[in-house]
Amino acid sequence: MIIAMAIGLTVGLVLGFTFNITYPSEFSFYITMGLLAAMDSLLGAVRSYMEDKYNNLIFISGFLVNAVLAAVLVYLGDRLGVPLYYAVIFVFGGRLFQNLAVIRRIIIDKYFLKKESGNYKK
Amino acid sequence: MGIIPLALRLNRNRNMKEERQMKNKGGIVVITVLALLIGLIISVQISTTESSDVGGLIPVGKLVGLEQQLKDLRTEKETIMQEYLELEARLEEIEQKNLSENALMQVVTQDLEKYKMGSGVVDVVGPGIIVTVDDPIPIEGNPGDGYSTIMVRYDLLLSLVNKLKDAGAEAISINGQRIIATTEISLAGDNVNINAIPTAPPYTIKAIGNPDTLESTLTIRYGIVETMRNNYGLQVSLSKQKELTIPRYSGVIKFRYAKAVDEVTETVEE
Repeated sequence: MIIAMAIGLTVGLVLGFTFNITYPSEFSFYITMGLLAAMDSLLGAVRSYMEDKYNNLIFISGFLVNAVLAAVLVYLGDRLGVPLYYAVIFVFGGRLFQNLAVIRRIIIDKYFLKKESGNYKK
Repeated sequence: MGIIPLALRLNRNRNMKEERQMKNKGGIVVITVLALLIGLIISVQISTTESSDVGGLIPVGKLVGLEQQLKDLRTEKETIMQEYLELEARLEEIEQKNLSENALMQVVTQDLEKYKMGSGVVDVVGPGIIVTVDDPIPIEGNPGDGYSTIMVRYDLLLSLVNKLKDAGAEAISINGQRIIATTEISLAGDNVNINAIPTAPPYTIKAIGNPDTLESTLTIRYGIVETMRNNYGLQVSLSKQKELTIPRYSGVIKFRYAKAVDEVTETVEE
């Protein structure tokens, strides 16, 4: 799972840099927010995978809806003159950390479980 | 924790693992694709932010607003300039019309032409030299302090202009800014202002006059060009021109305090 993620990320980065694609800087803000949402979804997927609750449909739909909602909030904020993108940053930023914390706990738990079973085998 | 429950749990874990692997073959593919997408977006974003000097986190609305403001001001300036030129053309037309009617007017207009040239409000053309001054090339031993040498030592520019005038230059411009009686060359913040217009290196100084005289005055031993090259490491190049055009002063000449003293001029004339 994590290996697949790492491979995907690396390939994506390499592809992006080799083709050197750029887009108009007006969209830069939307893309950044979408990216934040996507990263949150990815970490969420890893977490649910580790909790054995992973579901393809939930993951894909969550990814799309989150990214779209982020973009909509940014657009709305732009229109209203209210920095609504703060909401996106705070929510997804906070969730990134939260997901990471859960993943860390699960990994540590697994590690101790392994150690314990090793002790029993002796 | 007893041995049996633990074994049970391990067994269950293994069962679930197998089940999970069966179920999530598709999931891994989806996640890989998504991670690829994210990597792609990140790299594209990085190359975009690097290529434009606008940072990533400036609200778009603000940016667009400022851009619009700048555009509006530019258009306004263009319009006013156009209007100014039109009015000037009309004035000239009127003068021309009067010229044919009146012999006195003819003399006056000739005088006017001369004074206009003297005050720098007409484009002039003639032989002269072009001097280009640029900052020293940063070398490994001396990477510089981030400041532009010629901008910090803008008095060198002043000195250069002075020397050109000394050599009989009839019209001088720096980066398209005509040097007239009220022209200042002074450091203001990060720019050197000439005619209140911010300028930056490389500086192109054009001067109309006798090309040989101008050149030899500048390149004389221990002269201004040598000082610039040897003491400051500036890149200076000179080229003599058979014909070059020096633009007019584009600002407005205003006298708010000074007034002509009529009586005195009369007494001098008498």
